[in-house]
Amino acid sequence: MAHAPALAVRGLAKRFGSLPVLAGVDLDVPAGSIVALLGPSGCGKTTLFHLLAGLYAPDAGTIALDGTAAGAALRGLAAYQPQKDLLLPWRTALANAAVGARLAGRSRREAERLAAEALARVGLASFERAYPAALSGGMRQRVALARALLMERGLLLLDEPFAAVDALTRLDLHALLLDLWAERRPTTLVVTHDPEEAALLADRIAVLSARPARVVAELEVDLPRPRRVGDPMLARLEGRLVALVRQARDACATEARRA
Amino acid sequence: MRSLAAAARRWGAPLVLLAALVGLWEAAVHLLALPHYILPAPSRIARTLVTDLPLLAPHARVTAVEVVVGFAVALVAGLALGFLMFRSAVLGRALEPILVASQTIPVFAVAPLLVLWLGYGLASKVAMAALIVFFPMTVATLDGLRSADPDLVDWFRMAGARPAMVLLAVQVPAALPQVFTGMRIGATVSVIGAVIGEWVGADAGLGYLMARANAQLRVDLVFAALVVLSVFGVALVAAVRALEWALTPWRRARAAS
Repeated sequence: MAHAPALAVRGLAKRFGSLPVLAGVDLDVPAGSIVALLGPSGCGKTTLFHLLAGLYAPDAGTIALDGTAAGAALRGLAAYQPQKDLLLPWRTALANAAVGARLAGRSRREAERLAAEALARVGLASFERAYPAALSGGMRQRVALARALLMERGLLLLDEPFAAVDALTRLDLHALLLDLWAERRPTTLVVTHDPEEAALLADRIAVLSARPARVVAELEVDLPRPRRVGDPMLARLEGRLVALVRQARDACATEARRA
Repeated sequence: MRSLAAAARRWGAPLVLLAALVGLWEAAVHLLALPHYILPAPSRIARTLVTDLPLLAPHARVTAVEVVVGFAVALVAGLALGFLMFRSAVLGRALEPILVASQTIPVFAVAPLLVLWLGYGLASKVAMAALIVFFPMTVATLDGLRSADPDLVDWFRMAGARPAMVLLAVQVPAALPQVFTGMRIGATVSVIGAVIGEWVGADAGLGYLMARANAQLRVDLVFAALVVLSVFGVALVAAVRALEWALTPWRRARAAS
């Protein structure tokens, strides 16, 4: 397991052609904590994750791990879990999970053994031989979680990982994610448009504006875990988050009218 | 029992239709009293298949070798060129229009040249079959490799996978369905290629036998040779399908669950 670095993002900007997507994003994720990025859909969060995972370079700004600026060296440092599970359709659940261990440099044999353990950990021991097409959306996300876990990365990037599953399954997956996180405490950044998800998971929440995205508000969450849906403290936090997101959206609309 | 019922559902309709058409043909020949040197009845063709088997067999062997070798050569060349065009953007851009343009040249027009260059023997027929299979094979390979989900490719790149892993884990499996479609098309047209080559210039093979039988008004022998040719085509397609079934088990996953 790689050690969990502190992630610091400063003034990150990116445009595609004439379309500005990120307009100077500043963000800190302390080592071993969970930060949620809360923002409307299509606000440029996937671009932010692609930059953090080193898929392409920003137009301006820096990404630093433990205080050291990282350029293209970001590739291969993060475990990235997208909304689409992105499993290989031609591989069984076991072989898909094993991909994570192979990426961590494990031998084929070892990868298979670790994958079997990880699948059992996410509650899919009896589905080792199933292809993704035969699994439900929630099960596929579990396999993707097992794969991410086996990548042994200190940095975990979750891009609306549970947006495509039903509400009850989502709660189960949240609990599972927090369990897995508590074991090794990777530095975790999770993007969501769901205030409840942000409030349930995060140590700190950053609210993003609509595109071009920047962080417009930040707040610490000092609620103890495990947090439960229906807890009045959590409900109050959610209320604040909804107000903040609405504010961010309306400010953006005003700006757009002025422009 | 379930698989038997499934087989009946799958093959029942085409077999019944084929039997009906053959029956209609048989009846028409007798009712219209057509002479056998214009259109022989299916029963006569069947008899010819049996009695002239000693004549058909050696020619069939020649054609079978041409078809299989031509198909194999085109398969290897098409996979290789499709892969190279995928890996090298420059090569892809340079070759794609030339390849497409080459398909406007009718293969019939090239056949006499191939015989002139490669002689009356096996080589010109193999070249002919290979030429006709090569294009669909190359295009299928190239399109197949390009069809990999870009998000999946990006995920592997972000995860730090080496290009060889992206290729083997993502792009090659994604290409397989299209490659097999290309192979099925190739399997049927390879028979056509070999026979055209034999018509133009040969001293053996079913195409050569058909041309000779036609000149002698042995139309029943022409049809008998045609039956053997279509069996070749069907057998080759069946072999490709069997390979596809074995190599793409995930495509049956939904049905199994």
